[in-house]
This record gives sequence, C-alpha cells and structure tokens, in this order.
Amino acid sequence: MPIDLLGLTAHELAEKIVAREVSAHEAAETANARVGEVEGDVNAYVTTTPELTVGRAERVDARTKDGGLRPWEGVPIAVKDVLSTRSVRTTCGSKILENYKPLYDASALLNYSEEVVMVGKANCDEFAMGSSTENSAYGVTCNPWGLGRVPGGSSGGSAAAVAAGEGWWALGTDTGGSVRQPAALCGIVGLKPTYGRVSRYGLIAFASSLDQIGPMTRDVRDSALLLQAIAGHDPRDSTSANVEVPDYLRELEGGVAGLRIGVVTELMDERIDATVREVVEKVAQGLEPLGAEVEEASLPHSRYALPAYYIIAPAEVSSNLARFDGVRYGYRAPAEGVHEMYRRTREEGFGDEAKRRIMLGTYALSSGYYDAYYAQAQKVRTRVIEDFRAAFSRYDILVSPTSPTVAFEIGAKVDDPLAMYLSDICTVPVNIAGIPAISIPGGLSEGLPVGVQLMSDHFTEPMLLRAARAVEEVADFEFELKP
Amino acid sequence: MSQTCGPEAILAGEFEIPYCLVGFPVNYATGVVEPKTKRELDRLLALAANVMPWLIAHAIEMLEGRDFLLRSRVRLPDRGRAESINTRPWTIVKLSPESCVKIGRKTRAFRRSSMISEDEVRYVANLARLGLTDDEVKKMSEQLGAILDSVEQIGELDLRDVSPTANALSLTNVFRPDEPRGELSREEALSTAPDPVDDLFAVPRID
Repeated sequence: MPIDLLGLTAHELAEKIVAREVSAHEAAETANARVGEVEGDVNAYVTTTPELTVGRAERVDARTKDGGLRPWEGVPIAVKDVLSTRSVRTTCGSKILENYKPLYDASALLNYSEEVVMVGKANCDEFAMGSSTENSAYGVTCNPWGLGRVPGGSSGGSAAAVAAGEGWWALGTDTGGSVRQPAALCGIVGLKPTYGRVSRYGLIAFASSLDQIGPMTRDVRDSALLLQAIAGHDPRDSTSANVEVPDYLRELEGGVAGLRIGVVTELMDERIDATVREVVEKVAQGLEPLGAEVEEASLPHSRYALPAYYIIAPAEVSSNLARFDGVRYGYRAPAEGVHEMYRRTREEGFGDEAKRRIMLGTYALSSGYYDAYYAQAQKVRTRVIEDFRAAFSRYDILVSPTSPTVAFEIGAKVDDPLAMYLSDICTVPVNIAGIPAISIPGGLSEGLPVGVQLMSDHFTEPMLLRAARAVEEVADFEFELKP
Repeated sequence: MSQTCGPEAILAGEFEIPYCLVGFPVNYATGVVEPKTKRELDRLLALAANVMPWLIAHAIEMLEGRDFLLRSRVRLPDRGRAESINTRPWTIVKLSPESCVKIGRKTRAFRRSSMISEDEVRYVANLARLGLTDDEVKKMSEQLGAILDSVEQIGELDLRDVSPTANALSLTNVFRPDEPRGELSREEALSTAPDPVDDLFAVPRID
C-alpha cells in the first residue's frame, strides 16, 4: 500500500526523503495535486509554481544519492509573498508589485536549501499589514476550517496552505502577530523567533524594528526543525544577531518539570472571548501535573503596547514604503510630470490599509507631532520591555491566548480598522519587546481552533519549544487536513 | 462661546488680557453632533482632570521665560496627580499675544479633536506623495482621528524620565569593511525598471 504522504508531518516526510523511502519528486507531485484539489476553495496562493516545484525536487533527489542532504530539504514549502524569490514574482499582496520579479532570494530561503522545493507564493495582507488576509489585491484567502471565515493574517495564505495540505509547512512573517494569529485561527503551530534570530535580508520590509520571519507548521517538532533550517547570523542584515544557533531538537522532549509558568492576567481579561480563555486556562492547568509551577503573572504596561505599535509600525511603514515610487521597479502610472507620477502610482498601486498606515505614519512623524506620538511610543516600548524583564526574573514561560477570538467571518471587520487592530492585543507586546513566542492549538471553541501563546526571554527558543511540545501533549487537539 | 465661559471671555476682552479656553464641548449648542453617554462623559472628565494640569504646566515650560515671572523655579506636577497643581508656587503675571500663539502651536497635538481635518489629510498625503480621492480624504479624516484617539491612551502614562527604545536588542551601528563586492550588474538592476532608457532609470519631466 502506498504511503499516505499527506498524512505525514514535515519531519516524518523529511526522514523518509533522507532515507530514500520517498522521493522529493513524489512529495512535490503530491503537493501540486493537493493544490489542484483545494486551491479553488482556499486561495492560499498568489502564485503557484508547479514546474519549479517538481524541477527542484528532482535536483534534490539527485543529491540524496551522495548523502549530505540536510533533513528538511525536499519538503515542499509555502513561502509568504513578502519574501523575495529570484525570478519568481513577489507581489507582497499589492498591485504595486504585480509584475515584480526579484533578482535575488531571501537569506532565510537560501539557508533552507539551494533548491527550495517551493509550492508557491502564499497570499497575505498587503505588505503584511492586516489580521485577516482580506487586504490583498489577489483576493481573500478562506480558512480551511470554515470557508466563510478569515484565516487570520497577515500570513493567512501560509497558514491556510499548511492547514489544507498545500505544502507541508510554510514561512510567514510576524510584525505584530502575523505568524501566530493566523496559525491560531487555522489550527497550526506558528513561531515568531527572537528579533534578529532569522535574517531579514530579502524580506520586503514592513516595520524593520519589529519584522521577523517564522515557521508555520503542523506540529512543534516541525517548528523546531524549520527554525533550525532558517536561523543564523547574516552579514547582509545588520540587525541579525551574531548568536550561536543551538540544536532546537535536542531538548524538545525534555518536558516542563520545574519550569515556572505565568499566565498573564492582563491578557486574560474581558477583551478576550470567554471560551478562548477557558481553553487557555485548561491547557495551563494541564501543565501542573507534568511538574510545572503555574501561577498568575502581570505585564502592567501590556495594554499600552497596541497603541504604541500603531505609532511605531506605521511610522516605519511610511519610510519603508517610500521606495515604491514607480522609478526603479513595480507599477508606474502614466503622468506628465514626476510628482503627479509619484502620487498616481501610489494612489493606484496601494490598497486601503497600506494608504491608511502610510498616512498615519507620515502624520505621526510630521513636524509638531513627532514628540507627541513617535517619541512617546518609543518610551512605551521601554516600559513594555521592562515589564517582560521583571516577569522573566520570576517565570520561565508566560502564557496567554494568541487571538482574542476564533476565526471571524469574512467581511466582519474590514470596514472597522480599530476592531481589526484589536486582533493583535495579545501578540503585539512580544514584537515590541523582541522576544520569541509560539502559538500552539489548545483546543476548539464553536468547532474552530483556539491558539495558546507561550512567550520566553530573548534567544531561549529551545526552552520555549520544549514547553510548546508539552502543551501539544496536554491540548485537546489533533492536526487533521481541512477542508 | 457658551454661557458657562462667557463672563470670563468678556472680562478678558475688556482688560485686553489674552485669553484661551481649553475644554471639551458636551452639548449641542457648542457644536456637539453625536450625543455621548453619561459613562463616556465621566470618563472624559476623569481624563481631563489628569490632562489639564499637565498641559498647562508644559505650556508654561515652553515659554522660555520671557513674558512671565515665576516666583521660584517650578517643578512641573506629574501628569496624573491633579491635586499637585494647587500647591505649586507659581504665578503668571502677563502673557503676550505672541506667547499665546506659541503655546497654542506647541500644544496643538493635545488639542486635537476626534477628527483630522480634510485639509490636514491633504497636507499629509502630499508629504507622502500619495494621491487620494475626495471620498478617501473624507474617510481618512474620520479613521485616522479614531485611531489617534485610541493611541492617546499612552497619555495616561508618566514617561518623562523614561528613555526611548528604538531596537529591542539594543543594537548599535554594525559596520562591514567598505569594499566593493559582487552585486547586481547594470543590466540586472535595470531589468525591473518601468522605463529604462540608455542605461538609466527614466522618469517624466521633473516639475
């Protein structure tokens, strides 16, 4: 009987490819066939690359003969469309980059393999700005758990692709929760590594001081393996950390005995749906019998992280998106003079949310307002970091929900930016402080997945993953392919 | 100007004293369009008790000491400790009209109403070289105002002695040797351009 490849996790598939029980070519064909089956319903991808997928898989297979294949190579992957891929169009979910084909690959991809068996470029909110993947110029992605619902965002296409089996795992990016929140809403595992752990070279910048690339996977072991593949110092990204990359798999099964775990009171208040809180409580209590000490922890300034974020991130957006001016790449609107060309190119090329954030950031940085907004927000950032520092002197791991709700209906929040922004109340403090955090499915509410978020101190991913692995054990949840 | 504030305004006018009213309107006569709930009014009043002394103290601080006298060096009250303003030893003797304008300009961020005016939206859009339709300008003035209102929660915090953080890992400048490296060829660099002409990026007439 042939192996049910779609039933395997990425690390199981990787082992079989290395052992030559399964070829990368078979895996690639399986992924492409699955895309053919469900993509019409899900719309996880902006661009699929079936020929490239198979071609590269064949080259990986040629290398398995010599051995030396790293254990993740050959596993078909979905790549968020904000990561530059050489000669493969990279849109950032925006019309302004409709026909843009980068001249180089993102460093994270080169770390993964010289032949990334990529299924395609996954849909996302425009320039990764959003929490529902509705802000894409290439249509909304549907949540495989309920096709009328959003997959979360901004890495919604990556999350949906993994949940639907259109690729065994995916790369997303996380600026305020964009890996963790869609992972939570689609019932998969999403990890935001420590700021600087993964090179941002080739990641088309949204908010440079917050952006980080992260794995989106079926389980925690896959997450550790994919982090192993992409982590590392990169001289081409001056903000990448020159810190040794540990073995993320070695202590994965070490359990939580002796770990001090704090459930964050401020992130368990009435802003979070009661059913979501119940799941998080239950998971946290479930860790006690395994030897963890579970208590309540406090991050008193965490409620100010979101308002600070909505100054800092748009400020960086207004600067980063200035490069899209119709001169060197991307869309250009016809015009008589150069100023009209800039204005019309950006008017026609950017969608609503991108415009909103460019405006907000430009306003906050403009003369007379800088001190009132940006300078204050940077100070709030200091307070949030101090909160975490104090909390991590008492606790190894902090716990909260990932998202205040389960997946919401498509269209429910699209005209109310403030309501949409609240999707990130639990995830944003993590980016503000630059620490790592992971979302693991903790159970179901109304038949939809609920994510539990674990947070830990800078560069402590091995412990974070070990705790996440324990959460996976106590959670009332099993990965199954949808739809 | 409603009845409540009328007498002061008229008196100030008769004495030719520059006069400025800072407050928030609550009734239809003062231009309120959407009624607010009692709860919301209570919240705003509580907020104002914190904001007002802070605003006044900062306004004074910005005057560079030319037009007013302070009996002794003033230590500004903490924002959030409204009662302290009554106990500080300061007296304003005279404010020139220029100073009032100056205060107004420097504190305008704190006077902002819930909407960004459409003119201001157009001004910012021009800074960002972003074309907006009239409908977008209207929508933007409401939405940016609402977002900034929610951002102003930050004002509840006393942040005066806090240093700002730009990067969570406290990275400072990272240098590499300044040596030429293999980068893109001219042809490659121009291959993505909307209008490459003679090895250059061409743009429309510079106006």
